[in-house]
Amino acid sequence: MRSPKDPSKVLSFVKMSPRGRELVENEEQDENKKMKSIVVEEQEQEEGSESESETGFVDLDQDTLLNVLKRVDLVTLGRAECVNKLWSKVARDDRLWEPIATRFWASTGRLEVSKDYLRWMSFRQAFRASNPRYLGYYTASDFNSIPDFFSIDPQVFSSQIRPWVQNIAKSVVSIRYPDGHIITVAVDLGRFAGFDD
Amino acid sequence: MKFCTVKQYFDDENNNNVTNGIATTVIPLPNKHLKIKANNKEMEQYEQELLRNVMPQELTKLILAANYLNFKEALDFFCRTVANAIQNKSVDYVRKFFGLESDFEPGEEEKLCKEFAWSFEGVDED
Repeated sequence: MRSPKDPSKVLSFVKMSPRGRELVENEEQDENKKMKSIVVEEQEQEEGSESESETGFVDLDQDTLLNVLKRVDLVTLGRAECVNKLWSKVARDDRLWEPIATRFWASTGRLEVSKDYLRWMSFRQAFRASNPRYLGYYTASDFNSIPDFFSIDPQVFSSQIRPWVQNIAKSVVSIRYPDGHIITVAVDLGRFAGFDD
Repeated sequence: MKFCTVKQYFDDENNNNVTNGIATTVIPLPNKHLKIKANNKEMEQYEQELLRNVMPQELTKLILAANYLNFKEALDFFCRTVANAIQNKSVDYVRKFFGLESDFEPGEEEKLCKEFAWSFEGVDED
């Protein structure tokens, strides 16, 4: 799976405020940490089995669990990440977050982009970046208001500003933080989509 | 061909995946499904009935049986039923439902609870 984080294409943080930068960086660091720990876990963990335990409960395998979790709402999905390690891994799958994120970003038809600052994110990352509340690191009182965001048709975006985004990004979202600065995010299914990652 | 695996099942005597009890519930499903396909309300009622009468363990076994039998409609139906059963319930309820235990390290669990504090508002009673 090709990596969206092509260094030559991601521009610097230059115009972002320290707080906004913190928000986005924390999110990314955590995703990287989680990714590393998942790789280690996979080496240690057995394949999801259907073995019956003595108590009579049968464990669901990952694909079936994904099938169940794609039918629950956002809050239940958040809680699913707290159940155990397997559930945490499955609940983080970006295929579950794509519909949640795209539903959340109502297309307003506006085009307000940061010409100098473009980021790549998975759906889960981008959704949480546009909802600081869901990041959990900051309390509601840290924010005067929820950031403003609007989704942009990737084709429109690419024709006006970044030609290379068109074929790669599934969604483009601009997020304007309360302090006024804007980041533009090209969104694609993150590395957590698919269990062979 | 919804029942390609069923023939296999009957041929295969040593079958651990589908017990007899499950088979009797899953196999009549397509008939029922066809009859009430037009009538969504009846399907909902059947779902409610299923939730009330069937133990959670049985429900997960039903899912796995439907999966094994390659019966997509049943699989979707049972997954939906389970999803509705755990919708907006607490983490502990979900664990009890599936017979799971937390395998996080204590520090890890605390961190997760903090990160997902937003999701713990307005939880349904068990």
